[in-house]
Amino acid sequence: MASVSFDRVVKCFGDVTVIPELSLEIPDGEFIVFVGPSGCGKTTLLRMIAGLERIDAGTLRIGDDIVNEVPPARRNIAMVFQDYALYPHMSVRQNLSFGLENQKLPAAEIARRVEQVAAMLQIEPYLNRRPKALSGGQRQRVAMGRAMVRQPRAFLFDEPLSNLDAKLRVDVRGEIKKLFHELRTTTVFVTHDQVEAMTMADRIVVLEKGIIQQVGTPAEVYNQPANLFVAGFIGTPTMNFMPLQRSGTRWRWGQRLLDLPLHGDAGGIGADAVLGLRPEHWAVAPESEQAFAMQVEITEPLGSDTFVFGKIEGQRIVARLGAEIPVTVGELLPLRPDLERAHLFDAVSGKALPRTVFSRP
Amino acid sequence: MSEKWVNRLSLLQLVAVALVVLAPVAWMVLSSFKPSSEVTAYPPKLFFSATLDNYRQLFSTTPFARYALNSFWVSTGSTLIGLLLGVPAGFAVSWSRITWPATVTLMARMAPGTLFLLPWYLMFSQVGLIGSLWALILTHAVITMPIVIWVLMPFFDAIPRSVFEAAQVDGCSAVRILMRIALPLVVPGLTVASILAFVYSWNYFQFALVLSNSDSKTLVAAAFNFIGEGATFWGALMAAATLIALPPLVLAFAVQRRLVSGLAIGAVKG
Repeated sequence: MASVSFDRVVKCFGDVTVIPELSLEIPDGEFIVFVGPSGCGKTTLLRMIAGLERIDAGTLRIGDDIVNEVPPARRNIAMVFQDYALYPHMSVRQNLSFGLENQKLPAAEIARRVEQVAAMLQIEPYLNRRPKALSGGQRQRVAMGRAMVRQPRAFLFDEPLSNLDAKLRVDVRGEIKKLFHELRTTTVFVTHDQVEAMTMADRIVVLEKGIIQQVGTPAEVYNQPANLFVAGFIGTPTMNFMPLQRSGTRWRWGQRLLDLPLHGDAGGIGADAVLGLRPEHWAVAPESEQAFAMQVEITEPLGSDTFVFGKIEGQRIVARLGAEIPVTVGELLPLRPDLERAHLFDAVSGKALPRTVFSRP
Repeated sequence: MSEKWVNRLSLLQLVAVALVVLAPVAWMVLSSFKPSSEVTAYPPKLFFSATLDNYRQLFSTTPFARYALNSFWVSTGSTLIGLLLGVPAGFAVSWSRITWPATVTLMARMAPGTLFLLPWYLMFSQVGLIGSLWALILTHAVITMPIVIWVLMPFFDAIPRSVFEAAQVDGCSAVRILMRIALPLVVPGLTVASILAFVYSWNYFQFALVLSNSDSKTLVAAAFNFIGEGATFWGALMAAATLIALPPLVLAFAVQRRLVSGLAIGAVKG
């Protein structure tokens, strides 16, 4: 078990800089998830930890060792690949024991560990089968077993659930979470799926263009997004963004003045801002109240809730309403934003404005 | 065009190609059984009384078995060297995606053999290897190694890179990845490469003509002796040619299916 630490790490592919300069501490035993759109550099970072990509500048440490020049074989980390990368010509048992044979462990110890992991993952019935004769879910388990049996300093997962069907993905997600929270081995998990990130992580690292946008617990990145990118990336359906103009000490959205007073030190705040409001922070307004009228275009009933898509002030908005609320397409639905839960972002930098400047005292 | 006609035309095409390819072979085999007077008869006689005279003459006037053994050792030895050098080279080229070394070996293979002969003749004379089988084994590696590299490269390329990376992370050295992961996965390619290398070496004529002596001649070079300045023993030459062609044909037929699928992998890699 070991910590992993990036210190001003840079990575280029030819002329293209994919990781401009990145520093990150992953403490021993943490389950950390790198999330971001494709091309954000998350897999590159993972492969740098594995030693499969060279580091162009900066320092990478695993535990106390600087590993920039250490080949993958001598890092004592284990990796689960997106396509599982099982050895096709070996049985499941051989797949599991191969890494231990490389370490020249005694045969009895290898057999013991293989049996133990096989029991833990419930893959004993297939130990003598080749990967070809396994289902996707079974292969996934073998790939995980191959990593676990090594008892490495850290586990690396490269989108390991993306090849599974939706139901299996949810099951395996839960299983990985359970297993690895028991093992308490440092784990770096890469995914483009923010639901996976939210459900599994101790901490989430949101990446874009090789730059860390925010590091925090799932609750932090959801409830206090650091900028527009994080706010838009985390959460489904995505957060509603409304352009605001400053009008004295208040904000105007289209023709409407919002009940969102500026106070405190508002000096550094520009004339334009973006209001972010999650779909669940809209509610149907009582008839007495002056509400925002949404022209309903689409409804997506999920059973538990209904997503209602429509236009307010000419802008597309999605609201998440209780399933019991009757909504018909085409109607004018009176909605009320819960501005207490709103986020305000600087329109130019995209950075979140401190809550103190706009929330009501 | 209807399917019927497509099939008919395909058949016609096949027959035409088969005629072009097989006619000389048929001529060779038939001629080897003809009495010497009829071998060169024109138009060729399709019906004749078969005789083994040509084969008798071949075995009584030449140490055919020894030449056959020479050919066998040269082809086997050069194939082994080709594999020994070509397998790691092909793996390295596929792994590193640096292809120029493979291109260089291909250029060496495509260059006319005569280009090599003079320097080699001088070199091998210096070390006293002219007339030894070693000179042929070593020089035939120029033929076998590029074949091994180029046949195996697409096989190595077809293995998902993540499998090699998994082995790296699993604590495996490069040599061990080659031996334990890559090689077992390219066995069909190894078969194809070995057979092609063996056959090309077996059939290669030029190096043996210059670098061997009467003891170390390979079959192909020895058969050339039947073409004399005064008289050419066509019958014996055809008998020799028939026997020489036999091992490659048998080999090709034995692994026909594997050979075809193996050669096709380059076309539909991945």
